[in-house]
This record gives sequence, structure tokens and C-alpha cells, in this order.
Amino acid sequence: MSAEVPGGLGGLDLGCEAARLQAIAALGLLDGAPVPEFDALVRDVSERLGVASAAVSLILDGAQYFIAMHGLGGWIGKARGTPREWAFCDRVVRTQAAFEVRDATVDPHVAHNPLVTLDGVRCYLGVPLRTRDGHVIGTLCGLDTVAREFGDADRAAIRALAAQAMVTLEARLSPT
Amino acid sequence: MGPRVNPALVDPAPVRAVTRDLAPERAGPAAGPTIPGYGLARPSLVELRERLQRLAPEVDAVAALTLAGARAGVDVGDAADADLGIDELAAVASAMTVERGLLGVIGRSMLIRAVSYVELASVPANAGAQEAA
Repeated sequence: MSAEVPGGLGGLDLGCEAARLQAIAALGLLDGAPVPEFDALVRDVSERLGVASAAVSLILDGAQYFIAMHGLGGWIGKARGTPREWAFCDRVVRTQAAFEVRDATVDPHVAHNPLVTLDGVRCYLGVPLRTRDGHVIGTLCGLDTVAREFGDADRAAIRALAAQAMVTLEARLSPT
Repeated sequence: MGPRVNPALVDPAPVRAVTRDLAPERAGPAAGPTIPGYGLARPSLVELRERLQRLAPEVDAVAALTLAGARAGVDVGDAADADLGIDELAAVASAMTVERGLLGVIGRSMLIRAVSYVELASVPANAGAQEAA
């Protein structure tokens, strides 16, 4: 038996995961070409939630890939993502539900995550991007380096924007 | 004092020089096989091949890597060379991102892991301590 491949696949059914990854592949977004329609969307997330950063994140087998991002620079900006094992968004994919962090330093799910301990992430709100076939391919998310609470208006806003994102993404699968 | 805030999250401009060649002999013992604090292991061609074999068993992983290597101008040998330079690995992964299906997914994924490793390895190991002091 080969050793466990590091990063990301632990605890997943590989058959289901391969199907989910195939759904991502079908979008044709992996070559790094800009997706201008999402640039405005992530700016909108940042403004409506009042957070410094926002992203459209696709959860790949070993990394999260930001097909659009706002307010993220340095190594994350260069990589256009992070290893999957640090991605808050991976929790959204695994649970198929929104994930919300008010103060990452005391949240048991992420308190020891290097994005918290070394990069200073404090708050996060991410909602699933779900295809018509039911695959959660990634998230629309907002985050910041200051702790804060999110309200119902924030949750409603990001869900509405995620629905808008999925319309754009699904259109790539069935162009008219 | 609280933890330092990495400019990666607050500054859209790159703030540190990038070490473009982090083959093991140049990364040095301070960098080691993993990034201190982050615990990110240096990605390898073997890891890439194993991801392919695990997620896309119908694909001939060695043939796929050989083709990607040829596109990237990198000789991947028998795809078992764990000492391939990280830049070369990133080039092979990048060449895979234009492929359809799981090859593209796994290529993009490995490219992000490789670039993350290079970028984080270029941060001095004691930078946090210096800033805290």
C-alpha cells in the first residue's frame, strides 16, 4: 500500500469525491484564465458583509482554488488558493452547509489552523456553491483579520450572491 | 502580543521576495522538508503521481506526467523522481491545468500546493518572532 497522499482527501469516499471533482472539471475554469463576471461578485461580498476579503473558492482534491478573489495578496494571492487542509471552505464542502466563524482563535474547528495562528484570519462566512446535480463544488466566502459577528442580513446577502454565482457557473455547463 | 497578521490577507501587493528555486539542496536545513509552523510538506512528483492513481485510476499516470513534462520542457523520467525541483514540479502541474477532466483538477491542485510551498519557504523562519519582539 502506498502512503497516504498528504493534504485533503482524508475521510472522503473517493468515488463520490471523484464525481464532485469531475463536476468542477466540467466548468472549464482550471486553466487560470480570468473570470471577470466573478470579480464584481467578490467585491460585492466584501462590501455587503463589511469584510476585507472575499473569494469564489473551488475545493479541489488537494487545494482550494480561488477563481476570483478580493483583498487577498501575498502568498495566497500568488498561489490563488491554499492547500486544502487549511481551507475553511473545505468544511463547507464536507458538511454541505454554511460555515461561520466569529472569532477563529476560540473556534475549535479552526483555532489551530495556520491561516489563523500565522496569517491572522479571525472571522469567516462561507456558503456552498451547489450544482443542480447536488455537488458542492466550493464556496462563496468572506473573511477578515478582525473578529466579528455576522447577522441575518449578512447570511441572506451571501446566499443570494452564491445563487447568482451558481447561475453563472451553470451557464458554463449549458451555454445557450 | 497577539499573533502576527500575514500581509497575505491584508495587502494585495507581494511583500516578500520569492525564492524561485527551492530544490532540497538549496532550501537548506532551516527550511527542511516541511514549512515550519505550517507543516506543509514539500510537494513531489511521487505525490502528484499518487494523486492521479488514486483519483483517476483509469488514466495512465506515468504517460500523463510524461506528456505534461514534455509540454513543460521537464524530463519526468519514470515519474518516480522525488528529487525533481519544485519549480519543475510546478511547471509540470501547470501544464496539466489545461487538460480536461481530473487531470486539470489535480494539476491545478498540485500547482497551488507547489506555489504555496515556494512562497512560504521564502519567509524567514524567525520572521514571526522578530516581529513579535
